[in-house]
Amino acid sequence: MTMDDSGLGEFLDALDLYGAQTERWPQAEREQAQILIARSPQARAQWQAMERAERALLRTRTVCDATDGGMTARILRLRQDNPRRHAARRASWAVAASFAVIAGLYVGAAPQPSDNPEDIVVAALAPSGGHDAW
Amino acid sequence: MEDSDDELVARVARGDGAAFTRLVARHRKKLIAMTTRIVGSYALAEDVVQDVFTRAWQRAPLWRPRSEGSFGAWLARVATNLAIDHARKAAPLPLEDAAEPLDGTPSADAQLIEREDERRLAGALAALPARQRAAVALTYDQGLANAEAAAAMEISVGAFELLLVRARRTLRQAMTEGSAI
Repeated sequence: MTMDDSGLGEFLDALDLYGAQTERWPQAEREQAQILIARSPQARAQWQAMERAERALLRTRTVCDATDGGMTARILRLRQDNPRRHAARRASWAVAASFAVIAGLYVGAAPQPSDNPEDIVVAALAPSGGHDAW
Repeated sequence: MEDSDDELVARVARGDGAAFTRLVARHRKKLIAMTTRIVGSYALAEDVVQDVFTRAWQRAPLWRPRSEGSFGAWLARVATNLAIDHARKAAPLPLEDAAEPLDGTPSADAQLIEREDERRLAGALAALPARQRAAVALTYDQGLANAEAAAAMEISVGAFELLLVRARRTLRQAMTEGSAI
């Protein structure tokens, strides 16, 4: 495989997918990669760049303080959720949701006001009783 | 023999503070490392991790291992979501926020090269979108396999690999910027 082959593009795709540790690559791709790294200065430079990036990632990993600054003690003073209270809260939400659904069905099933102008006038005059002629 | 996370969580659910302290000691270090990488600040990462453990303590009595997966995966998922939210709201990350080196003392030349690599890395990481930074943190700081990391971010493995590929490409290119090859 030479540098003019499409091997470099595929190698870079695999490098970005699997990282610089070629021993973790699938076997077939690993063997091709090792050949390319040995033969191609460009492939080698890109592989080394990825390796340097990964080493820098591990070097710059944050080391946390040995003590937690009282975090655990603060948390332990808090109350834990009570499963019974949680269940009761869920039950009350379920009841409220059921009422909402029933109310929605009732409103949906109720007769809708008509868009017909004659019906509107009839409805408006209904309390006075003076609409017989219409 | 060490108690498993599930055994400790079962004790925490009954209000056992000692079991909770052991869970914190077991998971805090990795969570701080991962969260600091995402939010770019140790102080902010401590706040996020405290929030995560507070939820763990308060919700332990409601914990259902079968529906929520392993406790470690749950911690990683909550921490990742909170950290991404913080990172999106916060100002851009500082470029020179590299932590102190962990390993021994290399030669002066090697140290210079390492410092330069760390400077480039910090700049490239700061420029990454928060979700790509989270993919890097879950892989390199939390040490998760792609499937576990994808679950922590609540996305498919394919979507996670896409984030990781883009992030790695940016980091790799940052290391070669200005070089002759």
